[in-house]
Amino acid sequence: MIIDINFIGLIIASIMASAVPLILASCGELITERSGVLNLGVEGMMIIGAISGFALMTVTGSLIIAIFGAMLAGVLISTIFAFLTQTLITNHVATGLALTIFGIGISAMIGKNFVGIPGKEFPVLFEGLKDTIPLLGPILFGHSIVFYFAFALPFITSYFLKKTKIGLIVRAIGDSPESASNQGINVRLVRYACILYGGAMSGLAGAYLSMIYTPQWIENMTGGRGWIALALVVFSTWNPIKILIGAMIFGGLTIIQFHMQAIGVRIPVQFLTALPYIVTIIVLVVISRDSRKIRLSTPSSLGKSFHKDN
Amino acid sequence: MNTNLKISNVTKIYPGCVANDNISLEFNSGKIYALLGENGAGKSTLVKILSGVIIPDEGKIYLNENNLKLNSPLDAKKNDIGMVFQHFNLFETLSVFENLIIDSDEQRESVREKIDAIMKKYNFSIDLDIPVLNLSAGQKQKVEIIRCLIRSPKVLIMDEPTSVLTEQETSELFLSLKKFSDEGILIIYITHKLKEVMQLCDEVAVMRRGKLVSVSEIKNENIESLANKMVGQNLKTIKKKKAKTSSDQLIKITNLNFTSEDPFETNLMDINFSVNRGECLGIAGISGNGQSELFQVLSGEIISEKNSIEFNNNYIGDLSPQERREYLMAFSPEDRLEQAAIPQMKIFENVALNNFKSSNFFNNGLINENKIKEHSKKIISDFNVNTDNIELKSQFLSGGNLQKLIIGRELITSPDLLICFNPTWGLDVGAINYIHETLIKINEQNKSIILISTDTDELLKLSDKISVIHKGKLSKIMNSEEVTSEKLGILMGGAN
Amino acid sequence: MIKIVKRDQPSRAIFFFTPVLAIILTLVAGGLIFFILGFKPFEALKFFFIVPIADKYGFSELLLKATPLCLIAIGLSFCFKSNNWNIGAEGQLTFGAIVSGGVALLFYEQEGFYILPTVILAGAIGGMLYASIPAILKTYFNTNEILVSLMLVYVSKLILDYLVVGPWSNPEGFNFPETRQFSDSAKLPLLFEGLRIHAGIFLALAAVVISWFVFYKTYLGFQMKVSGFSLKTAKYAGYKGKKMIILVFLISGACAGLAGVGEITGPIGQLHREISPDYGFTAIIVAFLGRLHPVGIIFASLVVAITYLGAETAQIFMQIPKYTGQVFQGMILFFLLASDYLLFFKIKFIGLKK
Repeated sequence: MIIDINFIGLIIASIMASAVPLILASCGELITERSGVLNLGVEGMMIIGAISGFALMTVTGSLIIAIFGAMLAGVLISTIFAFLTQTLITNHVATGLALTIFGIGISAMIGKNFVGIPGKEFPVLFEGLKDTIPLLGPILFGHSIVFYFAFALPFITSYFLKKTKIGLIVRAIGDSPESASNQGINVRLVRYACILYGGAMSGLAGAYLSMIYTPQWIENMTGGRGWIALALVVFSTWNPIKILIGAMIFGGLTIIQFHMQAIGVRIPVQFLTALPYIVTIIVLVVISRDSRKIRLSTPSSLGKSFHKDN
Repeated sequence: MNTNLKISNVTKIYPGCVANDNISLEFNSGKIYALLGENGAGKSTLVKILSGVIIPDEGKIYLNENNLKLNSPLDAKKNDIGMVFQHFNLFETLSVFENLIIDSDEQRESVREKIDAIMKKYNFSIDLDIPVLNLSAGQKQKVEIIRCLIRSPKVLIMDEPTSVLTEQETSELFLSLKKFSDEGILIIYITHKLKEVMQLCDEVAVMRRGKLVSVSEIKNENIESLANKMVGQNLKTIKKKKAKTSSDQLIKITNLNFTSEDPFETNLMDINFSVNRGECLGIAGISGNGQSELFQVLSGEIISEKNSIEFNNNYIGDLSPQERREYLMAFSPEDRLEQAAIPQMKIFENVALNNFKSSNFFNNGLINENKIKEHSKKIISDFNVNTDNIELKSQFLSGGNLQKLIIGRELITSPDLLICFNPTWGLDVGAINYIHETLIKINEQNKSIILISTDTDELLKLSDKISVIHKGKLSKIMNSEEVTSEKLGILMGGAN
Repeated sequence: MIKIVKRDQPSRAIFFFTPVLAIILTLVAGGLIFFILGFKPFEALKFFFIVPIADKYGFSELLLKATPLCLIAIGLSFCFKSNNWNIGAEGQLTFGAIVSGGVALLFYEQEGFYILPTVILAGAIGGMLYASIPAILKTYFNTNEILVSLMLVYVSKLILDYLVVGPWSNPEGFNFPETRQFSDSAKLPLLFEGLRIHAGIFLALAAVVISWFVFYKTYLGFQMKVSGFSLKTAKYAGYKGKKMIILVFLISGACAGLAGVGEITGPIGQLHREISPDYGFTAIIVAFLGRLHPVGIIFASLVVAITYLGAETAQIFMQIPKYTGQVFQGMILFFLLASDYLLFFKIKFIGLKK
């Protein structure tokens, strides 16, 4: 059997494409968590982004409005989370769960009128260059702008955290909100910003799913990707670059399903579909065993409420 | 240029307590001022107001005649007021350099130059590129001081700075502070240690229960006069009678090691000691040198090898706290509010935390509430806990009363050994004296104590034998008559 | 001017009042949502909350839906009280249903008094087995139980899917994704002729009574309370932390498993693809709304069950999308968490000062 080298390139490209929503949502959540806030509502924010993007695209016909609208929708819904956890000092875990339940409900409610409507084609960049380089061509060229943004994001995030003043402040708050507050840093404001940013990235991840990856609206179409994104943050030990690796592994698992079925491997389809979830658990177990490393890299104040007394 | 700082009629009221009651004070540069008071006297509130962390209900602050609006720590910084907090405001996982530049608007390079200059001038040596968590307490404090000095402050406030320092580090700090003062920085030094006031300061303001009691020059005061002002009564001096030496060994620790998975904890290395009946073994050290881990190993919260702890001729190293209680051990942890007791639970429920078979608090898995309540009433009356309502949530007890409840809960079972960790931390003199008397009394009843404490005076007062813990290792065990606080200080700093 | 003052002590009256406040706020917000969607708010709310339970049949349906919610929430309160975040009850329910369904299928077309107890027990064991995975991983491998228990939900649904379309599907079922009907001996008896409410409700009531007793009268309950407040204190007191984590997960899993049994051996009488409309997740809301108190959970399960029924009724009569139910559930939890603020802070209205 001769395997076309460009075919391998296409497979890698499709793995990367399925990694995109995970990278986006994980990098967003990573910033949120670095500031000490645990937002378990990623799944909810993502699905809101998915329906908002799709609905806006259908209604306005503008892809730009749709993409930014989806991010804005993510911001809006995460504002609820931010208000509750930062202003009303509610428990992060419970509030995040409420956000997910609420998000899934709202998205299905809005999405009712958008089921079965075909999506639009999303423009891709450098289409013509695809065939110029064997193997690398299909990997590097012919993708949407969101795709390129997603693969740049871990590096941008890393630079932001390590090299910028605001990144330093975010890390400082995650380490000790009390010290930060005593240093005159407005902890609540920074945490609000980090939560809203996380919402925007989750919204974008959702929009990618409904507008680019599988351009249509299907109820519950995120299918647990938000949770896997959360697991990826743990997997990465809060290091954005490692998110890239993790997302590629999970993207690979998703793509392998299709190809295994295509080749005719006799494994029940449900088992293949379950693989990413099972692998997530295994990966979490392996990572967590090194509790020393986890302890050192977890933001010390993660999930703990902070309230400033006057 | 002269700096003049004026506090005018400052009042801060919390629910149930007046932290600062109409305080007015004036400071001038060139002198070092002491703000003296017991725990809970309101000193910390006052300096937090000066540094913008707390906003007063009433009153004004003037710096060189300018009325300052201190609504946030940033305002204090802008007005050249620097503060070194008692509990460091550092970011443990960030590097020293990152800690220093976080509140600076300048370029990284120019800040680094400034820091290098400061370190050279005052003879500090700290690696700027390692995480703060790898620093000793003394070094952390220097980082805090550098952080203030970068901004060339007019006022420098030090809140209980020596509580984590050795004797030697303390004298180094005093030298630095005198240098700062000579250079025109106004120094306000907050403490409850009288000796330090006499050693360092020029003027002293004494606070008691939120009120300003007196302002005077040091040359007109002595330790006794200050003590009386601080406490409001003549201090009872407690002295331990030299116990008859017993050679009856109660507990013996042999080659005990503990390696933690938690990078924020200290590993214990090759711990060996023994305690005889009726004896008090004091363990000194700067906090964070393995005291907490040692306490947990002794209490059974951390399990070790079976043979590493021999108690009353039984090997108990692998037993849980509850099982150790059956062998008549009792434990009083350092953290009253988050470990030894649960503030949201009622007094009698907190009593039930010390549960052993013969107490019959729980029979066949059921709660025997009457038994627990009966027991609680006895503790309250025997140990002078100032309430008669055992249904009260323990958050309403003062620190002293809560500590009495905890010590009472542990002692009412007549244990052979009490292990306590900083039992008087943060208490007022009355409660401290009560706890000290109680500890002396149980030694007199031929029971033993292991006292882990960061308070050297307390250790010298109560211990028969003393050892020092440094980086998870114990020094040799010394008779307490042979040691002085200077000698302890040297050992606490890690010298042999 | 509004001033916010910290309370000296969380108010006990407000502790039980805030859930009511949360429900009221949810109704108001719900009315608003209906208005935005172009429905008459009062009419919509009436169809949502009153019409569904206006008759005997409706009331029976209410109890039918409240039963699994109550049962699971009781189980979850063991976990939540002791600081364990088991959010995978849906998976434990599904796996319990799979195991009990499998046992029920073993007894296909057989009758006997012993069959039903065996099927019920199998469900509880199935739920416990499934809950033991996050528990063991948490205690021995330090793995986050939230993510593990959640991932297992997806896995359990896929296992169920595989079984009902594959090996367990009804040979005479024209490839419908469902198993054979269970024999009558494997089914929970219906309580009234013509109504769907079944004996599963007694399981829920038993769970309420037992949990109340355990929480407030036993050493285990006391240990859970202490661990919930402070794990450090629990360690100092010498409680066997790992054993307790596993125990509360097992209890929680058993309850969810039993709820699964109720779903398949009640009116339906077979395994099929969608045995639970996310009862396992909704029960998290019920547990919080009921303040982790067994009696509170009874009321909370009834309130939340209405949102399921109301969503169906409102869809039929007013074409309101049925997902509104989920939206209401999310909102209840939001408002409950938000109104908890009143537990710790007083809001004082002060006259405007000049």
